[in-house]
Amino acid sequence: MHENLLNLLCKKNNTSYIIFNQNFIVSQVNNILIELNTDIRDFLWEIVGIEENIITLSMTQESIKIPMIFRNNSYYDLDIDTFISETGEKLYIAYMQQKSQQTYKYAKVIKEINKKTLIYETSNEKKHTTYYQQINKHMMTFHVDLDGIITTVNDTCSHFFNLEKNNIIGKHFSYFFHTQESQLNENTHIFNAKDFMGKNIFFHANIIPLTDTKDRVIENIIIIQDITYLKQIQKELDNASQYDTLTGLPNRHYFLKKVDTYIAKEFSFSLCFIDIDNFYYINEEHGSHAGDMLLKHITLLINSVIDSDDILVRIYGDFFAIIFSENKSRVYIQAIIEKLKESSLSHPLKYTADDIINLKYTSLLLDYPNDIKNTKELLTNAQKSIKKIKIDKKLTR
Amino acid sequence: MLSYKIVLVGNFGAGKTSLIRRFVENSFSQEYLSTIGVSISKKTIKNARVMIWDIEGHTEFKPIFKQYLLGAKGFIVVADLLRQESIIDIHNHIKLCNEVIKGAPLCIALNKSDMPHTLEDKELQIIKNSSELIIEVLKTSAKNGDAVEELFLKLDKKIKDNMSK
Repeated sequence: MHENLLNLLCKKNNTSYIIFNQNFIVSQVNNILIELNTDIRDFLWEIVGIEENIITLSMTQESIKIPMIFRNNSYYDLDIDTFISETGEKLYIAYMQQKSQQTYKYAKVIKEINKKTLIYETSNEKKHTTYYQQINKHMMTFHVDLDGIITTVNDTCSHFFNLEKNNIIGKHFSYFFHTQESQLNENTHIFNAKDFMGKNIFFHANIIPLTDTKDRVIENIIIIQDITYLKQIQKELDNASQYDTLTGLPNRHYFLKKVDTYIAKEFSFSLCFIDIDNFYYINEEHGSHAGDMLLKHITLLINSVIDSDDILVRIYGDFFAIIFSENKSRVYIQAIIEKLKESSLSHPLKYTADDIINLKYTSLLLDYPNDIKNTKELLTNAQKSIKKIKIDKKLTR
Repeated sequence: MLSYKIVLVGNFGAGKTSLIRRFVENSFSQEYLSTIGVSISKKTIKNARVMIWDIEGHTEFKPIFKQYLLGAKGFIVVADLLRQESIIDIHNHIKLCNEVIKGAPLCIALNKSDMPHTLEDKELQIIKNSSELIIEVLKTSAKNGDAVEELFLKLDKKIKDNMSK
């Protein structure tokens, strides 16, 4: 009775079934060409590998489902379930339901789409589109009318500001973008804008006028590209050109620029030049690394005694200068020089446990406008004066 | 006889079906017929009955169906040397395989080596080093049969080693 009912239901639902036991031996089938008492895995290859999942199936558990299996030019879904037989034996049933005609149509369409997609993906057209998309990701495009009102924007722009296009269109261009001083030529500008995270981004902008048939400009298209990284490189290069890599101090370019600015503004300021004594011999005797360490050491010593608004500069080699900011009194400066002298005596460079290098230097103090007229001969004259002081020091020993 | 299951995974159009066809039937068809669902082939490799599952490839709109990977003893991840995206996706396929069958060994097949491509041989090692599950990375050609046999045999050896432990 049960078997007849099962066969009837399966026929109605276009389903085949195989009943098998825990040893995977087939005990009952409907319309499939499989011999009884054989291993189901010889016929139903899907079962290989999932034996453990089948054996541990329980009646309360959801059945094992493997959809869309293609075999002998037809598709079916496999469903494996368990039940207890009339004799109390745990048995398993594998249903194979034929897929409907609708599924075949679906498969045919998907195959066609995949085929076309594959042809497209390996074509030059895809490469070009990809390049275009890559370029477009970094370029914002606006249409701006003659009053500067934005009339059209692309997706990149919308992403950049995290705004819907409608919230950008209708606003004045200057609401979002600020012109930088530098205009490269008539139609090329540098703009900056803050993105939705508040980060300041620099753009290179090309403005392309659109004209009507009578050659009258009716609208401008503005194409802008993020050049923040170029600005960053420029900043780093500027920085590198004005700072010394060993000590991290401003260098000679910075020094001359600063002094020129002070002179132009007629500030009264003082300079203290410092030149390490016998630096050449220190390098010779202890090695150039020790020399470098001594330069770093003196940098630390000087920076520890001067005010934060005074500037220590490494002019070159072992030749340093302190730029004392405007209106620092002679008394203050002398006190600093004295403090530095004491500090250098009490803090020799301990290069190694056995290698201690005493720090001696010669200094020269100059004031503007009394001793300094301009920067032209300043460094040459300062060096000459320091050399003379060093010779005098030797003579008086 | 020992029986086990392996699954070929990868993006659509990478050549999974062609590799199986070359290995099982020693044939090749230039025409691309994408696999929908799963098709299972059987091949005896050195006294083992191997069920080779050829599953529908991953597409932008359709992920790989995890149920197909159940019970596999090893995987072959197939990528198309002519499509960079399919090589980039290798990582995701390995992740998926390891999610379903933890620690199962993998071979990577970079298929269509008979066509001009830009992937240098030194990059194979970089791919291999990307996961300790990878036992071999091979440039294969289902068209002329290059490294196809080697691909399946290497995986077979590793699976048998694992099963005998």
